[in-house]
Amino acid sequence: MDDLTKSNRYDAIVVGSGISGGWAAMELCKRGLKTLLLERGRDVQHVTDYPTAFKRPWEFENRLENSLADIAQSPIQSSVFSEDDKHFFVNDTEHPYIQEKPFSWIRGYHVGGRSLTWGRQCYRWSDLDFEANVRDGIGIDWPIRYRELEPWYAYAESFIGVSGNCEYLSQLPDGHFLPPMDLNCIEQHLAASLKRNYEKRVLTIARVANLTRGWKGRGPCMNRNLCRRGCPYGAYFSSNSATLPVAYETGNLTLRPFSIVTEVLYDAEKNRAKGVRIIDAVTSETLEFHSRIIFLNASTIATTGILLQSKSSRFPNGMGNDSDQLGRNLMDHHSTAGASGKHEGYQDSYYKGRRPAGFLIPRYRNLQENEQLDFVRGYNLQGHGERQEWVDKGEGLKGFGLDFKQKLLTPGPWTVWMAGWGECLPYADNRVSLAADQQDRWGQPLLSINFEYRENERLMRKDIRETAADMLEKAGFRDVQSFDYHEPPGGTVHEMGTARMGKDPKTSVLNRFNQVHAVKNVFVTDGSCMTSSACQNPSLTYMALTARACAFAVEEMKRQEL
Amino acid sequence: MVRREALKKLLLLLVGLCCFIFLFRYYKKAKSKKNVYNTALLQEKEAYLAALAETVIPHSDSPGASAAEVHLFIIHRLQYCTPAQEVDAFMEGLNDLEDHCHKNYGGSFLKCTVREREQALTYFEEKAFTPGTLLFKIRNKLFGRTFIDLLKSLVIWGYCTSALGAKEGLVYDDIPVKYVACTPMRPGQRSWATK
Repeated sequence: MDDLTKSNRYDAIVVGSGISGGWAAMELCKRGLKTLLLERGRDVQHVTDYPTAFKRPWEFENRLENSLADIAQSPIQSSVFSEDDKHFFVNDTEHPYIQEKPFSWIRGYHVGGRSLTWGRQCYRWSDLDFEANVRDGIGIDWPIRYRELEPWYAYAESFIGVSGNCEYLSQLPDGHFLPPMDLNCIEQHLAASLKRNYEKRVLTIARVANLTRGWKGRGPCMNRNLCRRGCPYGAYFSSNSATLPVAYETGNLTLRPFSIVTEVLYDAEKNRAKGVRIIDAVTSETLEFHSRIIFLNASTIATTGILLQSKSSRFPNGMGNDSDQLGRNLMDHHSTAGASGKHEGYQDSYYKGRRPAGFLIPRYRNLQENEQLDFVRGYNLQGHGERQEWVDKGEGLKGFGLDFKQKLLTPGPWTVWMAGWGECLPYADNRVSLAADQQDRWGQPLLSINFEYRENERLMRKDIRETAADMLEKAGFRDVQSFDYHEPPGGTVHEMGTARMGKDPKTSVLNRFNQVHAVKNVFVTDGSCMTSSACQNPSLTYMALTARACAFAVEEMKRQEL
Repeated sequence: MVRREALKKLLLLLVGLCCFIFLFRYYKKAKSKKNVYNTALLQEKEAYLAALAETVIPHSDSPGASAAEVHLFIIHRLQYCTPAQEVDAFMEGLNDLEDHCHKNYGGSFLKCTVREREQALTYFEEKAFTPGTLLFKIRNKLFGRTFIDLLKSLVIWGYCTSALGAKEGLVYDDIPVKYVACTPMRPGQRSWATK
């Protein structure tokens, strides 16, 4: 740590070092602000803190399975982690929260946050999404449109490196892409069938922040498909591999791990935030840090928790909560419904390497008005094609001995699995609140989550099953089975909302530049700010919004407006 | 007609209720038996488990399960990663298998020929619900996996994730570098060890 940590005054404070926090830190540092980055968990150094990155399956004690002890300690996180990446997820017992209804809150408390374990899918939104609320009369209108975000999408893509293919679709604008990864035989087959059989449906390779060639000193991807362990080649975007190193290079960054932000401090005289209070997770000391501007990027639910805890006589119900919207309109994409099938063709073809991404069928529902569907909005399908391997055959392969072994160890038929990632509407009573009487080990109130999907999401999932199965059947697949796993919400790990952007302070928490309406030097640019959820994976939009808000903040500071 | 429909529904409800009560009692009984077996006893069964695993995946032109030390993996998994209920089912399954071999082949599984060993395991597989079916899923949800399911999945996983199994039974590509989307199948092509 340098000298700055001894003083407690900075130009800017960023809370949280995940995807959006890393971006905020980088942008503010690049623009010359002395920036303090607070992270509640431990430090994770790029490469040296990826302990499992080069381990082979047989080098893991449980051969990648979770132990009963791990499952008992972390019943929620263990639904998504494995033996090889569990160190990038919180321990549920140490970090409890309340589920008023089942909701899996998947978290990573360490430098880099969930940027280390994210799915890396990068999709732009379009005005079909930004205009959706006002068109349907649901929730409130977004205060921005695509044209305002377009240059920032381009800026974010050109920094992180996104591989993908241009498709010229109005609902899914193209970006600045590195060369796409290739579709395999069965995926090409399905793509051709869609083209033949449907007017509006396209199958394209996923657009992912995996580098198909060297990019800004990182990559390229080695096709090991072990991204979630941390990439020793820096071949996918994470805070640790990309934004934080650039922030460090400026000499303006001070990173303080083990710093749990408990509230944003309000200066009633000046009507602005003066800094934050933290608890040092190692020493349990309470400390204050002061700055001219504050970016909250602690992740959707946690950021809102901090604002709810920031109470003052001006804000008795939490900072910036004049509208009573803080904590409301929590959303998460549903992704449990889809279809799978086998195909008898292409028996003489296989593949080499482990492509760390699948395919995408961009949204094809409700692109026009009057499609006569029983739900609003839409979904995209994400999936992959492969030949059945031992792990797929295991269950159901009968017999024992030489014949069984032969069948087990040779490639089976081609299969495709695909599921719908669907938009979730904003509902005022899907919300996060502070528990009245339960606290964590640092004396902070637990967060309580009350969330459930409604009729629109249910009807959409039904449609996903039908259309996905129909596409496979038309493409000549057999044993086509549609499914809905009915897993608890939260599992897609696309939490959005709870501090929505809007034009009117009476109905929203943030303005069009992600400033808290009533406290202009506090910015929220993580998923909390989202006014609707669209169906695209949201991280790229957080990056674009963050970069845009940072540029705006620095301009405002120069003009002495902040 | 209305009365007939109503009667039908009532009958269905009654049948459903009976099934539920029956299953619930069975379920409670199964749940109440926990950790009857001391997994430390497993250590003494190394040779037995090695023979079992080798029956599932025998040596051929590539190593078999016992060379890949799948029996040690099974013991570890049962001790640290398997719910008590399933460990019990596994241990009981070993006893049942022994009984079956004594009755039908006049001696322990270890004394049986390869053919008899395969027959014995096939007997247990035929008795169980077919994997993937609804009944199979319901059964597993309520009572955990059966002996034969557990055995097969443990042997498959243990073998295919072992160094020997991955490199010689399958093809292990540590650092592929490139993804080649379409390649020709070679004669005798084996599967990739990892996804």
